[in-house]
Amino acid sequence: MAHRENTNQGFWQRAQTIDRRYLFVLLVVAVALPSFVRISIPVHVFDDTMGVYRSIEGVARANTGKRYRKMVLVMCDWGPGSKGENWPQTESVIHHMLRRGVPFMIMGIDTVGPTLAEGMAERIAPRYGRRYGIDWVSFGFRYFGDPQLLSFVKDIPGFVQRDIHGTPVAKLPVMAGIHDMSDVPLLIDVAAGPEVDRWIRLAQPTYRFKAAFGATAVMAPAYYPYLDSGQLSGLLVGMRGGAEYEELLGAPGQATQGMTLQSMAHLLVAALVILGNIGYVVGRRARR
Amino acid sequence: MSPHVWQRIEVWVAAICTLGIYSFLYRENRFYRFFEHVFMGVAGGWGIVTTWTQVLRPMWWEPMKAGFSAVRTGHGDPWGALWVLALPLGSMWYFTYSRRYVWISRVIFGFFMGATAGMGFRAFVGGQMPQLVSSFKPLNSPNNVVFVVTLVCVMLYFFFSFERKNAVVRHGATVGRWLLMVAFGAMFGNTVMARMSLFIERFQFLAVQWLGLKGG
Repeated sequence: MAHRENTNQGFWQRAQTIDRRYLFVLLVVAVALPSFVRISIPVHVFDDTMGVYRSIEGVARANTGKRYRKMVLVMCDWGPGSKGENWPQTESVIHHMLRRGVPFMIMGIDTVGPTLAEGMAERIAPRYGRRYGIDWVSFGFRYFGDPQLLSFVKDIPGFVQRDIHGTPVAKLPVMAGIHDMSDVPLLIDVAAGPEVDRWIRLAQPTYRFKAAFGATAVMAPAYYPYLDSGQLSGLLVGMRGGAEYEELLGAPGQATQGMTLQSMAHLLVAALVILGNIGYVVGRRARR
Repeated sequence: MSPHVWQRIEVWVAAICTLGIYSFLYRENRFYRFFEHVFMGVAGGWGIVTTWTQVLRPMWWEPMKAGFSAVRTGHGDPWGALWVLALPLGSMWYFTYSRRYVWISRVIFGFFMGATAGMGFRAFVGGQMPQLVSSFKPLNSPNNVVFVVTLVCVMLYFFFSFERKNAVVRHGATVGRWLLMVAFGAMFGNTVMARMSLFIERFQFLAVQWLGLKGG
């Protein structure tokens, strides 16, 4: 009996000091499993994601029958480091706007994000017969300190001057009727950092535009108070937000597939946390 | 070479780079070090080129050139020539490296500190006031009750100005501490989700684009 107890304690003690590389292998196996066995986990759409969808629909409705259409500003402040989360978010909102004919401009304070977003728009636009310069435009990477942000919101054509291809703003039909931020009723900031804060703090009180945020999951909890106060009209939380948006569009993609893998990984992490805690308690009892 | 072949080469290069970086999970090694330096070099080069082609050239160099040309020929907008002032003003930052002329950098530092503080005040009012206002909620739903109780308890926990002798304050602060722990746990859960998402994206790339697996 005593021998079995010792063996038991030995196992838990060994489990406490297990080489982390075994855990990495376990994680790969957990994530790879849905690639070989059909596992499907339904995606439930939360209100924070729904808020982004409703905001775009609101712009689409407001533009109906108007000669000069209001635009959406899509800030792509992310790079390859957060591609797993920000890519599906950006792709989903761009897809939605192209489908509904909501004109938008792409810009970003990251040197890579706007380029990746342009690629998405170019790929999706032909499906809905949308054209560059008429339905969307890209101003690429722009340095955006607080003074630049304030200049931009006061005089958008004066600030951007030319698009990514060097075409003057005056020659872009999509920019007709766009003067300042009051002509942009919605800002969608997809970011790996807190860039949306500056728009909310410096520009939103004056121009009263809606703001939606595509956040990495790490940052999301800090932005729920912004949703509560109405400063944000919607929030996409990491890959989950992207998957929910794909569900809303009826176009399952990378994020929807990823969420099944994500669930498997979470089950593994939860199991390891429980095992770790059992090991800790058993070890403490043995020391007593 | 056909675009398809180029695409395959791109995928192979990206896959080797990904595996190179992930090799660190086994242990520190030269393969990882090599790709770490490759990434730093590529990111630096890309940043410099993009900054010049998309920011400095169209927004500073070309308007300045056009301004000087207008001054010489009398055609166009001569005000763009004033962009030349950005050069001496910007250079003032670099005097921080000279003991003798460090005062020059302080002039521009002072200017920016003043401007940043001014905008900070504006940002505080614009950012925090709506949240302060929205925290006064009527107690007419379970969500609002939870919100208000959490707010009060956590604020009690951060009262350090006087000793917590009153039992209500003491217990409220303890509850606040527990609620903070719950919030930190939720935040850490999100952090795990974020890190997994990044790994899953790379896994999907390796499995689908590189190895051509279709999935279950």
